[in-house]
Amino acid sequence: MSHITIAASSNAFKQLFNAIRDNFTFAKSDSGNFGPFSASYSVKLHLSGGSVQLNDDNTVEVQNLDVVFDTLKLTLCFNLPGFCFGGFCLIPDPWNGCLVGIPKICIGGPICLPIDLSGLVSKISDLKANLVAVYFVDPARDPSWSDLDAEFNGHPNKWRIFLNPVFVHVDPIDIPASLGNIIENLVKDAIENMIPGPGWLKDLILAALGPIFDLLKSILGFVDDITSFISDLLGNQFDLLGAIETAVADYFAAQNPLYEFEDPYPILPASGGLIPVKIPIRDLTSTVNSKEMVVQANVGA
Amino acid sequence: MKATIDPNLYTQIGLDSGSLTILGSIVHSLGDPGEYRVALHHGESVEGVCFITADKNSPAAQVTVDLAALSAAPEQAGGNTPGDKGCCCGGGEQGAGGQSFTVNPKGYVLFRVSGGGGGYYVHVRRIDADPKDKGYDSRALGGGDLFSAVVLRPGTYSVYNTLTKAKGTLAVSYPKIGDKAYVPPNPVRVVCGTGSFEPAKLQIQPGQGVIFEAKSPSRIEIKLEKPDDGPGGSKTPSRAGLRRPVLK
Repeated sequence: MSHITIAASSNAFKQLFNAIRDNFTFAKSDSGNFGPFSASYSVKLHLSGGSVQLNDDNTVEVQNLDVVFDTLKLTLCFNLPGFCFGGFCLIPDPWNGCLVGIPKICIGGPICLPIDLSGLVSKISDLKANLVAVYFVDPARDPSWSDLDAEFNGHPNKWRIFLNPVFVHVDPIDIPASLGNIIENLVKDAIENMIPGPGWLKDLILAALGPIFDLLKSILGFVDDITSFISDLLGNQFDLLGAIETAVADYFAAQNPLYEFEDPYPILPASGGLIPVKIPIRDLTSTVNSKEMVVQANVGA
Repeated sequence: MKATIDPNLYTQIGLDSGSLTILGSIVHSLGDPGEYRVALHHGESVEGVCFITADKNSPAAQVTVDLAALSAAPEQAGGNTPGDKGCCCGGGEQGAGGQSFTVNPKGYVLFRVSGGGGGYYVHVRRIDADPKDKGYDSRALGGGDLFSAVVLRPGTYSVYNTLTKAKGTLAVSYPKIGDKAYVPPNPVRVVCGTGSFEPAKLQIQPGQGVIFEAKSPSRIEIKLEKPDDGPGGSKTPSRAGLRRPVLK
């Protein structure tokens, strides 16, 4: 039987989790070339909400944890095929096509679409974890210090209890259908900006391009709709979902403990010229059941 | 980013077969075997020279001379197209050694301007020609010559043969943004007779070619008479303005 047993109720555990969750931020940017087009993105996000459940099998389950994209900016760049004229036959060859032809002249060029998806919310639909107790020796602690020196200098050893995710799943980014119309307008704006000429020339190029949606389908190579394409591009091609899952797992499992105990643990503070009373903690373990988190430890020598 | 569009495509409205620009080309057949000297004129000055050999044994039915590349002015030299066979005589000095081309005497020489302001005509003459032989001046298209014109700007144009005084009209429709990508239709052909065009009235789509076949000496001028700025009128904004997409 352990010397020390401490319990935190399910509600107390949720408060501990919420405090850590609220400090989570993640930022990343990347770019890539995908053949007929290139893309880059920058993202900054935080976590919000989520329901925490403690299970009798010593696991913690968090569901519907919101991933709030404070910034999610995607830029798509590709070469606009534009409009070609000329290229016709001046003198046909009676035996073999064309005897004299005129070369084509094409108007086109690179355009970039700045797509702002900031404000979108995805979900961590499921995060399953257990608790892990880790003994922490402060790297700033001088090896020659006693435990008392370490406390006075603010670098005591600690027992830390981490939420150790064994499974994290971020749902695909749900791109709103209205983005299709926004992207069509972005293409038109890009053409307006790209073509320095008069309105009739822009209308001629827009006519030559045909329906913008069909144009994007042929260039970007998507089959169904552009929202699925963008969701796949960010989530899978750039593996943004995987990066978020890794960051969340690392954040909870290694960077931010749910709770920590100083070792030796102070029982009485220093007073009246006497040094503080501290007891060494050994063999600390942490478990959960459906009602509470339980921390057990022994008092060492 | 900006597209690399030659502004002459939309600022040079109208064409002249005697002053070739980016949207106009001439096809001429040398006819007889021999060595020909091609002098590129921009006004009175000769801006470049190259040589064409009309060889009965040559399989080449077409040689393309890019006048922009031929021009001595570096800023007017455009990129060669694959059909140009590296035409860049340069030099600028009359009589200077320029690049040579070979074509069958029954073949054709295409004079075109790949970029820049243009305004060229050519003077083609056999090297061993009699001094009294003036050679071929592209300001007067001869029988069998072609003048290819592409008109982009919508509107109504007058067509005038300055040598025969023949007149015609050319109407270019405003582009329509439809369910399918617009591709200019096949070019139309106009016969330049002794005193008329056949047909004299043309209705074409923007970017559609018009091929003038000279049956008598011709210099074709196409001049914009009435611009068509589409249903909304001129849509060139004074400034781009701000449009900020908002996600719902």
